[in-house]
Parts: sequence; C-alpha cells; structure tokens
Amino acid sequence: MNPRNKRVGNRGIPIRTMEQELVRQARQGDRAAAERLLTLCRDKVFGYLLRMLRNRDLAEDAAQETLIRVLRGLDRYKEQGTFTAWLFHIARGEGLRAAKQQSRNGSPGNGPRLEDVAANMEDPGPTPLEQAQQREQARQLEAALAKLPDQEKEVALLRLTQGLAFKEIAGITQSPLNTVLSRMRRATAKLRKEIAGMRPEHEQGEAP
Amino acid sequence: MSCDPNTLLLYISGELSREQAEQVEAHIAECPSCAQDIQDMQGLEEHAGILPQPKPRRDVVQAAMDQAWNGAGKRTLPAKWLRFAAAACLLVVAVAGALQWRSSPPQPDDFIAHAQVSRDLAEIRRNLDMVRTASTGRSSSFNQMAQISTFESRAGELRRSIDFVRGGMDPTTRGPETSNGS
Ligand SMILES: [Zn+2]
Repeated sequence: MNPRNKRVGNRGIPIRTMEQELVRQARQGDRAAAERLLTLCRDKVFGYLLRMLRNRDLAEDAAQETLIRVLRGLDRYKEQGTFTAWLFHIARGEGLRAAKQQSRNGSPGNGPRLEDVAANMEDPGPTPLEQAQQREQARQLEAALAKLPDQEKEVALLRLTQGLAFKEIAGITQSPLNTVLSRMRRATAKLRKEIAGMRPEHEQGEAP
Repeated sequence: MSCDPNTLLLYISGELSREQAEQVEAHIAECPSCAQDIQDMQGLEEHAGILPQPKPRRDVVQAAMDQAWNGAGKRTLPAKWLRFAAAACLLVVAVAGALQWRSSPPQPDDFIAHAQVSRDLAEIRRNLDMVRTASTGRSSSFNQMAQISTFESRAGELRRSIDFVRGGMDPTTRGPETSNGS
C-alpha cells in the first residue's frame, strides 16, 4: 500500500472512511451528513472539472449537477468500489456532457480560461519569496496540464491531483488498465518536459 | 522481470502485490533506466502537490441540496426503520461491552444475560434483514408496523438487560432467578 493514497482528515480519520460514514448517514436521511458529504466532494470535483473544461461557469454548473446526481444516487450506490471512484465517474460524465454542449454552441472558450485556475491560489506559501516561486511553478504545471489531450489530461488529473489508483481510474474512464497506464506515461513525459527546466531531478523531494 | 514502465506506475501507486513489488525493487536495483523512470514519475507526483485547490464561487452545495435533497427525503421511510434497528443493535453492543467490563470474576447472572443478549442480537439481525429486503421490495405498511413494534419491544428488553448488567439494583428488572445457589 502506498501511504500517499491514504489521505487523512482533520481528526486522523482517513477521508475515505469518513466519506463512507457520511454516505451511510445521509442515506438514513441525515441532512447535515449529506451536506458535509457534498462539501467534502465540492472542491475536488470542481477542481477536476475546472481543469478539464477551463471555464469557471461551466465547471460550476457541472459540479453542481454532479452533486445533485450524487444525492439522487446515494440509495442506489452500492459500496462496491470506492465512493471517490463513483463520484468521479459521475463528475467525468457531467464534464463530458458540458464539453459537448460547449462545442455544439460553437464557443470553445471565450469564458475565463487558464488564468482563472492559476489565479485561484488560496494557500499562501510559507514566505513571500517561496510563495512567488510556488505560484510560478504551479502556473507552469497548470499550463502543461492544460496542453494535454483530454484523455491524457483526465488520467493525469485523477492521479496527480486526486491520488486515485490506476485501477480506479480505469473504472472511472471505462478504459482498460493498460490504456490508462500508457496515457499516464505519455502525460508524464510531456509534463516533465514542460517543467524540467525549472526543477532538475536531483533537487527533488523535500516537501514539507 | 524485464523493463515494463506500466508496472513501474503501478508500483508507485501502490497497486502491486508484495511479491510483484519485490520483483520491481530487484529490477530497479539493476536497471538504472527504470530506476530513473521511477524517480521521474515520483518526482512529478510530488511536484503536483503545489497545485492549488480551486473553489467554486457559487454555493453549489446549497444549490444541490435545495434541488435534490427533497427527493432523497422522500425515500427516508425505510431508512428510518433502519436507523431504529441500528439503534437496537447498538444497545446490544453496549450490553455486551458492559458485560465484558464488569466481569472481574464472571457471575452466573452474567452468563444468562450474555446468552439473552446473544439471542436478542441474532433476532435483531434477522429482523434487520427482513426490513432490508422489505425496504427494497416495497412491502405493505401493515408489515412494516409489525416489524417496528417488534423492534420496539426488543429495544425495551435490551434496555432492561443493560440496567441489569450495570448492577441496577432493582430486582424486578432482573431476568430469571439464579442467585440462590451461590
Ligand atoms: Zn528496466
């Protein structure tokens, strides 16, 4: 087991366990639990959709639609597979639907774009200088992600920003595992090329 | 093993079995190219940690709750019994826990109470299963009432056993008489 996959919530409870518990309570009609569950889902779903669609309004609509479908599907969701995988399966569907509509309306991007993602830095870094550096690095990575073809981008996002297992990603995108893995490899090569100049190999690895 | 970049990814994501992982480790000890690949991929994963988490400006949670929670609320009838049944099960757990706590040397009463609790637990489990199947397959409301009242009386009994186990001194709450032989 990779410790990276075990994200931990505020009281040391793994987030995935917390989600399962909230699902259970929400199913029993607990409104507060349902709200907490949706709040846990909100930012990760929105982040994924914003990076896929690169349009804030569309991403907000699709995120809201995802949460609605989560609520409506709670009863039907069987606990086979993780909740997160189910959540992103829905989010991905909503993202694809929004993208299709967007291209049908012939406006593939006059809304807020990439800058919108990078401008959304809430976490202030430790010092102003480091903050500025991080901001720049994040901007570069955002730009590199944005350039990826959609199929590579979705795999890279689900892995790099959500920490999902590749088997989960295969389920979410309904693609064979090997396809997912080779998309990730292509994405990795491209992303590294874009950020290589900024961060040489041997200097990596002291995250706080 | 030979060079297999897909397996390297699964290694990084922790999706390999122990043996497979060991094979990868043995391989990268001898293959600088794969070792480099692993480093690169891991480097990227770590680097991705700097990405911010964008937040929606609109309150999409409230909007979703407003639109969809009523729909979910309509289906809470079966959920309510489940909650009730779950509460009854918790009582059983509490009784069992109390028994364990208190029995420095176990008393005959304890064994009887324990047996009772176990029977109750088994029955509640059966009831729960009934309710579960009923809630998926829409049974008559008469049936539902009967099940609820079963749970209610069960819970009453359990509450009495808890008092008993906690050493609630009132002898009338006790089950069968057993203390004559000690
Ligand atoms: Zn190799």
